[in-house]
Amino acid sequence: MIVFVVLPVISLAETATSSANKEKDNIIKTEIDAQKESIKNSVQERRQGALDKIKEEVDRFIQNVIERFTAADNRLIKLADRIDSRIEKLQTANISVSTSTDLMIIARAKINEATTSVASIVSKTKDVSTETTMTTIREEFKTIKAQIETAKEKIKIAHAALVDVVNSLKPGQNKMDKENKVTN
Amino acid sequence: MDTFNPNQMPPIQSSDTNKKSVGPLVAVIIILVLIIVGGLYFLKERSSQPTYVPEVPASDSVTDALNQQGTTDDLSSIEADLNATDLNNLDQGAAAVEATLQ
Repeated sequence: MIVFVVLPVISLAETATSSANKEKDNIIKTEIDAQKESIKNSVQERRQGALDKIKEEVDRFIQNVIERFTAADNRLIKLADRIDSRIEKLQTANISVSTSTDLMIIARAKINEATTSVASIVSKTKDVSTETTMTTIREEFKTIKAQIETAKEKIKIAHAALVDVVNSLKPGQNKMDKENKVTN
Repeated sequence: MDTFNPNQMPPIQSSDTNKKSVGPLVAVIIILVLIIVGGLYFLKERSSQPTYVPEVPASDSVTDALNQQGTTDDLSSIEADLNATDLNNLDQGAAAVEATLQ
């Protein structure tokens, strides 16, 4: 008789205990999930922060490079203008400058090529700022670096062309200096 | 006949009058001290606050050097400026950026 009374009570108690345990398990599981999510978010935030920092550094470098190349390009243009002015003066003094004029045409063309090359670096800079992953930034930087090297080479060629013009002007200049000395 | 005798006048209560005149003076001194202490505290707080200094972009030595050149069409001056044109450092810093990206 006692068994019939006690058994259902025990069974009921066991059911209650197991449901309480399940509830506990659920709570723990939810807490673990929340912690996992929090860690995941924190890692994601750190990664994004590091990526933003790298992008900032790349952007700063590219801006610096653009300023330098633009300055170099402008310098060559100004030098070419000064050389043109010298050529005109020699021409006025009846000194043959035909070789120099031909070389100047070549130099101007080389400067134009350099200017176009510098402009292509500027157009590429937008691509880095829009990249969202390290791999794509790395790839984009490779492209920009190649562009920078090309522009550098073109600027060096234009500079060498101007040196050629100046060298070609030296005999004429010497002649003019001598004539001026004789006149004085 | 009563005659006016100054010696019979009641004595002037000088201590009361002194107390009355000292009271406002003390109050004024306390207020002044409070103002001075407050002012000193305000100045101390203000000096301890970090002052905002606008970030001035550092000038690039390569760019600065390229921007400087003469203006005459004198051949020796042009040649000097051509020789002073350093184009090797135009991409200075690229290696450092590459290292960061690795």
